[in-house]
Amino acid sequence: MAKRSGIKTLFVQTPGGIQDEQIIQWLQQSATVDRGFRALLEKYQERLYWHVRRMVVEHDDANDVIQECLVKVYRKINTFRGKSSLYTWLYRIATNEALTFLRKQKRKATQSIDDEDLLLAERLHADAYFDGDEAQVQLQQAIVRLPEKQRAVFNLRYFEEMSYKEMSEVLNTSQGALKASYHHAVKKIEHYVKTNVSS
Amino acid sequence: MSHKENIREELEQESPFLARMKAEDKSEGFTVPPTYFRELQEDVLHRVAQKPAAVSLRERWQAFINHLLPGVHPVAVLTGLALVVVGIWWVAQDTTMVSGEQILAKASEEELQAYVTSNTDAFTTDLILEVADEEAELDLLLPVDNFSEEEADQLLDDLLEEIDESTLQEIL
Repeated sequence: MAKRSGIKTLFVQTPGGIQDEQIIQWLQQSATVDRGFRALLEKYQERLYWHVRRMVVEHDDANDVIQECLVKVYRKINTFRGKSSLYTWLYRIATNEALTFLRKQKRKATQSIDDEDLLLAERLHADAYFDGDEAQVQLQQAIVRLPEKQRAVFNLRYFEEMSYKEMSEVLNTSQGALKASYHHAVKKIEHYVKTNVSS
Repeated sequence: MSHKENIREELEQESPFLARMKAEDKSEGFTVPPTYFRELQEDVLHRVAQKPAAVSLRERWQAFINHLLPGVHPVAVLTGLALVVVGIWWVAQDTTMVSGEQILAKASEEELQAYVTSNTDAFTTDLILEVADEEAELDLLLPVDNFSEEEADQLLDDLLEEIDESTLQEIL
């Protein structure tokens, strides 16, 4: 089992360090599209997976969502106009896919929204691919109790260390609103973790 | 101060507790199967190779426009196309009006009055009132010839009852 070795691995560059411009160029020409997509996967699939995983929690769900996301990226690459960076465009698709998945899950569930969030929190324990200690469990349980979009805001800032400008492109929200959302998320998480770890 | 230092500084101010957790790398407990990412790449490549892209109508239009006018935004092209369609419709409508006028020129006055009376929704109030006035005059003149003397007297009495004093003085 490959353990998630902390946020530092997120920023490891892929071998060769292929630039986004080169990947886009390959992707936009039919003769090199497969080469470009392979390069994109090597560079971004892991980062995108962890982003999705933090949103949907369970590995199996994250696997379904990330596969769907990457297939969509392949099919939609001709619509990428370069107005944002490839990096934020990919995160935008991944975030949308994760949010859509979570909303579908909620619609399927017969419980209230609060119960559904509790269910998600409890599934952490059931997931074979989660082996966090007490503090990690509490942190993740606090995160899954956030509203979905606020969860995305917190994850992008706290784990991905994205700038508010990049987050604004990913979430299509003003930077001011994102700062406020992150502030509230941090306060809620701190309160939850402090309360539950000490008890 | 670098971008990452800024973020750490922000977290330190917002919550020293969470900043400490993050610094201790107590962030996550997620894991994946050992060969997961290699398999993920293979699975995705297999999926995109197997299923041809189900291209939507919109995407086909975009691809067509990109092919036709590279570098021009599809919205601009579609707006231009919409303007051309509206222009063609306008010209066609104008042609219809001309041929309509030609038909009207050949129609008799009675046919036109009958047409206007039976299609009141299609005409302005002024035009309908104009036609109605002409019909009223015809109604007033034509039947009288066919009336008997008693009927004519009765009609005159009815008219005198309905008419007001000022109108009567005006006629006299």
